[in-house]
Amino acid sequence: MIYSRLEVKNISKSFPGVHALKEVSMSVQKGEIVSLVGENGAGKSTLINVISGQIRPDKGELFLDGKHVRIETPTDAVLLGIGLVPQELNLMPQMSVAENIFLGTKKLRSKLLRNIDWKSIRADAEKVLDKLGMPMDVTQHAGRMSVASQQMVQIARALCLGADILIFDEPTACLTLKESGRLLTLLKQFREEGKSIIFVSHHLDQVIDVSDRVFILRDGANISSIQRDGFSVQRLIKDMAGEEVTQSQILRREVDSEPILKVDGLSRAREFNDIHFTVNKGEIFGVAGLVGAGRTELISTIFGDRKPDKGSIWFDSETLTIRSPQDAISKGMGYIPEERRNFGILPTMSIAQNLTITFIKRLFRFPKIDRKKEVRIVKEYCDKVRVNMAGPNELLTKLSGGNQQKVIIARWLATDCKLLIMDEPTRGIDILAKNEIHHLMRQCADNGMTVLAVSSEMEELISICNRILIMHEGSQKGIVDAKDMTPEKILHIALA
Amino acid sequence: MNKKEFSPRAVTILGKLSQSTIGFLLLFVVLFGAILSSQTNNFLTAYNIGIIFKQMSFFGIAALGQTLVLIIAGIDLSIGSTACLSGIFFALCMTRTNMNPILAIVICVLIGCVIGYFNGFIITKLKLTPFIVTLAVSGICSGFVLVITEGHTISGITGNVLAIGQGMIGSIPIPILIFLFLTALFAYILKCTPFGRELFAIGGNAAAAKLVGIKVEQKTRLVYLLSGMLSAFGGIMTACRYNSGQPTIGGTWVMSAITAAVIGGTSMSGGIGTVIGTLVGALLMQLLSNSIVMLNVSQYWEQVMIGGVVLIAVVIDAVRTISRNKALASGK
Repeated sequence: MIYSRLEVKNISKSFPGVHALKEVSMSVQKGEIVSLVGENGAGKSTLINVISGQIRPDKGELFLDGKHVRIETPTDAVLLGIGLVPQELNLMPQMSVAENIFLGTKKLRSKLLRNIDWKSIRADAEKVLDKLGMPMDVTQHAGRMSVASQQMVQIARALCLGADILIFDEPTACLTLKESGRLLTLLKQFREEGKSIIFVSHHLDQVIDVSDRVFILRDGANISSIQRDGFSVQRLIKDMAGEEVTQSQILRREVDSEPILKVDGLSRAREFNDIHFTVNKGEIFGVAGLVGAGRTELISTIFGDRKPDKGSIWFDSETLTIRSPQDAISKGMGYIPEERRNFGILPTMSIAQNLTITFIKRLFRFPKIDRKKEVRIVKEYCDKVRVNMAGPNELLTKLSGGNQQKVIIARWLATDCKLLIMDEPTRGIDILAKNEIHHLMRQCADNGMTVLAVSSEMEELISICNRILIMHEGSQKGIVDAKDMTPEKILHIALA
Repeated sequence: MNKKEFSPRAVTILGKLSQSTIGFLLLFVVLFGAILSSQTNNFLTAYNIGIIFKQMSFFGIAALGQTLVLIIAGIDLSIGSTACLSGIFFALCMTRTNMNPILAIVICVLIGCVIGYFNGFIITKLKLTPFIVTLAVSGICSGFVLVITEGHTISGITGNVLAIGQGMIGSIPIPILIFLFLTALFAYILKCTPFGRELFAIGGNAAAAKLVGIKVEQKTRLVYLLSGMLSAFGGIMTACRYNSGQPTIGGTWVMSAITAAVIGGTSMSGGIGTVIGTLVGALLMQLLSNSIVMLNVSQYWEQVMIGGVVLIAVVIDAVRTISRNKALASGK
C-alpha cells in the first residue's frame, strides 16, 4: 500500500458561533500539487492553519506517510517538514534577507562562544535564492524589497527549515501577472523535485494550470475532489457556489425613486480603479467580490476615511468633497466597519455610551448630558433591534458578537442617517442573529434609509439586495440585478 | 496574553478587589490613618491633616491633567518641567517687572498651554509616541529653566498674589480649595459633557472613535493643552507658596501624578479613569510620605516607598487590563 505524503482525516473545528470545518479530509502525494478552492469563509484558511499547527482541531487526525502524527504547535509542523508561505508575509522588515531566512535556527561558529556563523549563513542564503531563480543581495533589509522578492525569501525560509510539504496561501494575490507566472513555474519545479504542494487560490485559471487535483470546500465541508482530467472553470465554480442555493428568504423589495448616491470614476492607486455606480433612495445596494477585490477600500473612501485619487462622489443633491468621517456623518452617512472589534466597538464603554456616541452632542442640555433621554433612546433602539442584554449600563464587550453588532446598527439607526454603509454586516455571528440582521437591513430600507452593503456571502447579497456591484482585483466587473443572480453567476462575472 | 503571566486565581481575587477602586482606596486610607494615629500623637491634628491636603494640592492639579492624558491612552512626561518653567517665568514677571499679577498668571498659564499644544501637535501630526515626544519636550523645558536661572532661585515675590500658594480662607488653605474646585470641574467635564465621553471613546479605541465622527486629533491636542495648562498653574501656585521661583519645582511631579492617577483607577492603556480617583490616589501618596515623617523614619526611605507604591499600582492596572481583555475575548 502506498501512503500519501500527508493525509488529513475527518477534521472538525468550531469557533464560537461558527462551525468552521466539518469532517474535512484531504491528502497530498509526493510530487503532487493539490489545490484548495472555495469561497471566502469556506474553511480553507482554517484547514491550512490546522495543518501548519496554528490551530488545534476539535476532532480528526493527521498522517504523514501513513504514520499518525500530532501537530500541536507551529514548531511541530516545521519539524515534520511542513512549511507555510502565508498570505500575509511575516518577515521581519528590519532584518536582513539572510537573517530572515535562517530565523529561528542557529548556525554557531563555536559551541563555546555561541557566536553566529554569519559567513556561512549568508552563503547558504545566497545558494537557496539562486536555486529559486531569484539571486539577490542577502544583506539588504527585507522590508525594503518588493512583495515578490519578499515572498521568495519566505519560500527560502521554508526550504531551509527542511520543508518538503509546502503550503501556499493565496501566493499570487499581490503579484503581477509576470511574477505569478514565475511562481507557478517554481511550483512545477518543486513538483519535479518530489515535494508536495498545497496551493490555495481564488485564481481558478492558475489552479487549473498547475494542479494535479483540486479539493473544493464549501461552508466548512468537503464538496468534491476533482482529478486533472475533469478540470474546467465551470465545474469548479459550480462546486464552489453550490447548486441548490439554500433559498434563504428573499427579502428583496423593488424601489422606484431618485438617486441618493452617485459614484463617478472613483480610483485609488493599487486599491480600486474607475468605479461607477448610482444608488437609489431606499435601495439595498450590494458590493460583491472575492478577498482583495478592493470592496472595503471603496466604501471607506466613500465614507471619507480615505481620500480618492480620482473621481467624484455625489450624495443627496450635492457633490461631496468629503475629507473625514465626521463630514460624512454630518451629511447623513453611517458606517459599520468590517472588523467590529478593531474598528466598531468602544471597548471601555457601556452599551448605552456606545450607542449614543455618534449623536451625544444632541443629548447635551446645559449643564449636562440628559441621562434620562439617553436611557430612553437606548431602550427604544435596543428594543427595536432586539438586543439581548441585562441593562444598558453593562459593558458592550460583555455581549455576544451578534448582539454587539446589533448595538452598532442601533447606533446608526438612532443617529438617523440617510445612507448606511455596512462592511460584512454578518461576519462571525451565528445564523439566527444573521437572519435578524438581514431583517433589520430590510427594515432600514423600508423606512427610507439607503443601505450599501459589502459581503463575501453571495447568497446574502442575492437575498437582500436590489442590485449588486461586482468587483474583482480593484476593477468593476458589472452591476447586476440581484433577482437574476445566483452565486454561480456572480462568480462567473467576477472571474470572467 | 502570553507576555504577562498571572495565575488565574490571583487575577480573579485582585480583579474583584479593584472593581470598586475608589471605595477600596478610601477604606485603605482610613485604615492607614487609623494605624498612624494610634502609633503617633500628632497625626490626627488639624494642623497635620491640613499639611497633608495642602501638599497634595500642588502636584494634584498637574495630576488632573495627567489623568485626562492617560484616559486618551497617552502619557505626559513634561508636566513637571512645564510647571517649573511657568513658575520661573512667573517669578521673573513678579520680581523684574511691575506686571499686574493677574496678567502674569495669564501669561504664564499660556506658556503651559503652548507647551502642551506643542506636545499634542507633534504627537498627532507626526504620529509619534507620546512617551518620547513629551520626554524630549520635558528635557527642553528643564533646559530652558537652567539657561534662565543658571540654577539659582528667583526670589522676592510679594503681594496679594501669594495667597494662591499660601493663603487661607477661614481655616482652610486656598491651594486646597483651588485643587478641590478643579477636581470638581474636571469630574463634571468627564462625566457630564460630550467632550468627556469622547475622551473615553478615543482612549478605548481611537480607530473606532474616528469612525463614529470624533475629531480624534483635535481632541488629543486639546487634552495635551489642558495638561500643560494645569501643570503651569500648579507651578505658579508653587512659586507663590515659596515666594520664589525655584529650578526644582515639579521635579517629582511626573512620577507622583502618574502614580496617583493609576492608584486611583485610571488605566495606563486608556479609556478608563476618574479625577476623583486621582484625588484619592494623591491623598494616599501624601499620607505615605507624611507617615514617614510622623514615624521618624529617615526621609531617604520615601523614594523607596513611592517606588514600591508605583509598582503595586502598575500591577493592579495590569491585572485589571487582563481581566478586561478576557471579557473582550469571551464577548466574541
